[in-house]
Amino acid sequence: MNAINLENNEIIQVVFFILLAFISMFLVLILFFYFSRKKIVQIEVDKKNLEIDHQKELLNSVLITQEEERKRIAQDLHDDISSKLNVVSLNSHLLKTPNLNETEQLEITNNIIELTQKALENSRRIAHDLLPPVLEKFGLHAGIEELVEEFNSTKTVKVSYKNQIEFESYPIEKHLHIFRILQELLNNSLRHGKATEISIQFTNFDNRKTCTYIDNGLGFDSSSEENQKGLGMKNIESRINFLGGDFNFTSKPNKGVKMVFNFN
Amino acid sequence: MKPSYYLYITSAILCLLYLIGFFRNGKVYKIFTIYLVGVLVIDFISSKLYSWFRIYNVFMQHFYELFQFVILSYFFSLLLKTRAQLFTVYIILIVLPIFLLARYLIDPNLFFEYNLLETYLTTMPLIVYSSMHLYNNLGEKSDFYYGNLGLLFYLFTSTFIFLFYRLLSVFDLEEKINDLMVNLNITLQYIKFAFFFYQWKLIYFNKDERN
Repeated sequence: MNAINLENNEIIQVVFFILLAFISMFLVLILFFYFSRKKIVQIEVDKKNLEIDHQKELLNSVLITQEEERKRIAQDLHDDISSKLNVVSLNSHLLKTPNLNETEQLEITNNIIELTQKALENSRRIAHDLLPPVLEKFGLHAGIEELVEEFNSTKTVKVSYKNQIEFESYPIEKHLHIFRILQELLNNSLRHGKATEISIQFTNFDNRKTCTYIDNGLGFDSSSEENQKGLGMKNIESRINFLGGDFNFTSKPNKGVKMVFNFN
Repeated sequence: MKPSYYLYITSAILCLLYLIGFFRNGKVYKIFTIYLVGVLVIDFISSKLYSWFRIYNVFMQHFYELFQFVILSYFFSLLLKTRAQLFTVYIILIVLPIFLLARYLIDPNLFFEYNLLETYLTTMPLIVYSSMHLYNNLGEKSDFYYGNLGLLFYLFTSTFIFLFYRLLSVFDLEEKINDLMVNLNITLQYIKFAFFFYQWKLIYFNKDERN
């Protein structure tokens, strides 16, 4: 009787521990899933917040650039046009003075003609800088060709340009973005990189339009955080965002710059 | 040769591989290596115990469980991060051995029979720590990820096998199913070793993984 009792006790003990083990392991499993879900949601939220912050930064840089551009235009207008028109207005008043002999009159009118011509030229240049008319009239390809020619004419840099893409079918409002990206890149290469050779190449592979930009300038360490925060780079990034593409930027000190971006 | 000998050889190779990088790596790696070597030694001694001293390996089971509990608790205390988790590990690491020791002092006979409560109490916390470590590193790079998975897998399955084996032995059925249980245990150990081998490979061939 005792032996049977002892055995029963043992059975109960073993069954109890098996049950206990089952229950605690399920508990561990359930708690793990519960907390994991919470954590995963939190990670997703953090990621989205980071994205939003990045977008805000891009927007901010767009605003800053806009303000700077306005300042530049205001300065150009003030220096190149207002000052000239001022002198024209002074000269015109001079014409009103009585008892002017013919030579004096001729001198003043010549002055006025010369100054108005200069003001006209300057206003044309400012307008051209803001939006090259060739871009609107003949499209992106011609626009880039003209841009490259302008840079080549400075003789300090040799820019080569190859294009396999038909831009005619491409939405006109996107031409400007690509044009501005190249303008920014060329300016950077010349101003900061002191590059002497630059290559721009547009390729169309698998219906994916890609632009490859390479220069042989000074370059910089593109992996360091600090160098990625420049206003110019941010503008390029937001323009590529508008184009629905992505980009890859690599540079090392004394190894030049390579930028590859694609667009739809 | 019996299949268990192949297991010893595999385990010994694994220990040797881990010992190669012993001094190059950090504390976590060292503790893990000591655990592997300790388990191999205890396993080997317990299998030879009967032929050497006529002692059944029940005796070594206690050593095995306590050794595993103490060293893996320390191992996880190095991996876990939050204060609450570390506090739990330390408290259990102190309270549990004292409790078990007190039990054996009160009734020394317990030391010579299988003790389910001890098995349960020494493996359950390890399973919890292992899950905590998995949870801590969700969505990011984890230290000793595969080693931890191997441990979790083996702790989980071996506990059930042990309990099941006890259940069968109460009904005197263990003779009939003994071979199956032993083979199952060996298979599970191989799976555990596969995880450990992969972890070793990651650490040995990748400098970033060093711990």
